[in-house]
Amino acid sequence: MDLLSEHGYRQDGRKPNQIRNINCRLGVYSQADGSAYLEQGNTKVLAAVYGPHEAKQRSRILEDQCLINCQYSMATFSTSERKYRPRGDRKSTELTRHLEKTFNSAVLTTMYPRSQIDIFCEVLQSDGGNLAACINAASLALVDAGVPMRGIVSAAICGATDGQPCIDLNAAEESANIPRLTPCIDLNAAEESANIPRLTVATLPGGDDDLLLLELDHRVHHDQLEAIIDAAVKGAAQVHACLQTAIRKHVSEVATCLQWENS
Amino acid sequence: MEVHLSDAERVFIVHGVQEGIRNDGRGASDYRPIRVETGVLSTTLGSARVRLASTDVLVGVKAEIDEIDCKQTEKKGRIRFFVDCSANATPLFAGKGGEEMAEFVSTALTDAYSNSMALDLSKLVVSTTKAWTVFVDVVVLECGGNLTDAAALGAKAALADARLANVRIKASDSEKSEIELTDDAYFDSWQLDVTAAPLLVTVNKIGWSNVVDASLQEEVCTKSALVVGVASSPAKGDLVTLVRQTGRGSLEPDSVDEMIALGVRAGNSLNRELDRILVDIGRTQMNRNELVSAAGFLSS
Amino acid sequence: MSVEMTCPLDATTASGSGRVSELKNMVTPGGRVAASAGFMRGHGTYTIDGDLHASVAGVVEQVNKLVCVKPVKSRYIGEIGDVVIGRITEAQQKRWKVETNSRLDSVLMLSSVNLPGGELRRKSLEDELMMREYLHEGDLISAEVQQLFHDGSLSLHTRNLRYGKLSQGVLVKVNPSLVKRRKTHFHNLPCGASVILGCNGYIWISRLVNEQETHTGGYAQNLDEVVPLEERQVIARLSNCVSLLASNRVLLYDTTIISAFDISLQYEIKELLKVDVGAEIALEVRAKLATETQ
Repeated sequence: MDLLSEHGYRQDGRKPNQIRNINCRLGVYSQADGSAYLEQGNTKVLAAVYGPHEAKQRSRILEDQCLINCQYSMATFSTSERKYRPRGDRKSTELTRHLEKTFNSAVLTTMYPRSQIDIFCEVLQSDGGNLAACINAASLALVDAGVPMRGIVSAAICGATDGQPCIDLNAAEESANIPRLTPCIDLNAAEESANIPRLTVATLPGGDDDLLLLELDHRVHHDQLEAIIDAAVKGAAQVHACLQTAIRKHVSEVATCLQWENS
Repeated sequence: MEVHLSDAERVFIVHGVQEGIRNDGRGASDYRPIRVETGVLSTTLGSARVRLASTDVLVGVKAEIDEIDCKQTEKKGRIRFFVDCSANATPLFAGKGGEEMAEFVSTALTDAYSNSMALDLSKLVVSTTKAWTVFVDVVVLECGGNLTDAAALGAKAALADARLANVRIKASDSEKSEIELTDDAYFDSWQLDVTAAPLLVTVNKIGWSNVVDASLQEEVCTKSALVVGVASSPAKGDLVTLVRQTGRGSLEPDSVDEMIALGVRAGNSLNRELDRILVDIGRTQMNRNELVSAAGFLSS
Repeated sequence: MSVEMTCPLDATTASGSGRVSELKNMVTPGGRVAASAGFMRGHGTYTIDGDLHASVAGVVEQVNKLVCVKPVKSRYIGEIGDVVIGRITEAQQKRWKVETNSRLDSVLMLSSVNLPGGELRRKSLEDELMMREYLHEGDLISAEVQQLFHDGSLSLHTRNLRYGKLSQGVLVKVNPSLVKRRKTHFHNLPCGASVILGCNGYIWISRLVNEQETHTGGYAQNLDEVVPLEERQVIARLSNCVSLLASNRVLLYDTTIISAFDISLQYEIKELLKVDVGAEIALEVRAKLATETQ
């Protein structure tokens, strides 16, 4: 399947450098310290944050910083073919490690020694870019929980075909079989399952764009790598703008309810 | 979440239940407000989301065509229940923490449905050698007590919402016939008849009284509980499809009778209310003639 | 027997209050707050390259040279003098660990409690061994924050006769930002129950505490005593009112709780569990507050 049509549009009508629609909401659970629901196109993710709280496992307590404990899980009905186990396979464990690594860099862990923050992500519907969507949802959930971070982490997945990077691949795009190189941002599941190079990037936009996570699947020529990374970072910046708007709206609503502008 | 109670809080709850007024003002046979939505996931054939106070479960139904078990005398399909306690609900469910609870609920659902009255599994047969296997997957997103009842409500609602594609058998050159699924998944499909599907009611013994729909704190004060599967079929009236004891304590035979009676009354009310809701939803969907695909997390 | 089920189709969509204007002074994590020359770094900020940036999403507060960012929701951050309610998680050597909805468990030293009977003496070895007799795992206490340790955990004390172990009642957990710091956190409400508003978001509702009773430091508990039905109804109604005020984000103090209670009398206690009833009562409470402050 060709990711790009002859006019340069993708299967779902997007341009290569366009991310999918993002809908999100903070504070969906009452019992977790922080929670968020995020939709990136048809990929739907729920994230919950517990903490910071006293570390429960004595063996893992860190004396000088906070312990970040994550879990990535996919509901068995999230994919079009039923998944046999929600977690515990190698891929889920790998993605869990990616989440931990990303947030270890973003959360100001040195401020809370000997405590623990739990971040749990559940993918309800998988249409490509699962890791990126989980990072975005977890970022929102951490903000909802009031956990101090260096900034809002935003992530995007980028593929490449036909001389152009394609951002935010969906599942169909991820599965397309494309030999050539065009960066396409925000792949969906169809786009993701292709044998094309896929790069997931998590950034901390701000003064300097810090890259917190860089993960490449498949292979790409050294010359094209920079273009893909560049496109991915731009895509993440677009995601960052969406997340920031959502956070500002949420904080305004809550602070107004609490009547903070009067106090 | 780990629920700890002081001795004084425990005593307060137990005395309250025995006096007939629980911590939130409910009586022994009152349920907390329940909210049911169907058609919330687009990757499934049927789905439902049930919120019972702060308990939140999401159920998806998928189906695959499998070989019929040759050892069976009558040809029928299969139904499989799978429950996943997501860590989102409480950190205790992370890793393998939630497996015990999940195992309990899925076994209860499987056993409650394993009778010929619940679902007509013979309708799932598509050819002489193949039949549908229906998978009902429950994900527990938030836990506020009484998971079993919520999961059963979700399972019945999701099964009611499920649409299975019509199947045509194509004769082919090889010995095996080819199965062809219709292209139009929405209109050329059929729905399961769930009028006799059971619901589960957990009856908890607190002190010397029995209550339904226990909150997290009340569950901690429960010595022993009975899970009752209740179905009502137009032909045979009220049926009890499961009675299972759980908890560390023991029950006297008289207690058991009272608890089953309370469970059956509650189950009948739940069945009536759920049927009414499903009819309302069905009527609205037919009028609008479109699929609802929002998960409702964005609005509520 | 009452079973009430709703589905989204028949719920009247109570839409949000329309367009909410953005607050001034609002920041998101990573946003620049001020140049750090001349300003002190408070909660919710961090320095990078000589500039103060926000680490949480919230509202910027400046008191003289101290700049903080207050998030709308977070774990409890203690201050000296706060009244808190906590649950004992562990009895260690010469101290108890108490869970108070903060980032680390708080500590209650053996030297910071009153002995039963109100005796004042140095704690002996016997007292150490008897610690579990005084307070054991699961018990609820009311206490005051005595000091903050360097890692941010709190040290509590119960050296006042009105603090101590809590007896029969109901605990409601809410967001700590809903409980403002005020002169007193112990209220005997006119409806016939007593409420302790912990600054950490734990609210304790129990029967009326008789001030004249000689306090034994709160360690004696009568577990055989059965609270009468009328008082239970008041406690149940109050606990539902506090929950609905919290879920509708109304600040919790004695006035709001009392007005919510009065407005709720037109409903049955269990009806207060419904979301629409709760929203309506919260709206009326806000309206009543608005007219009173004018």
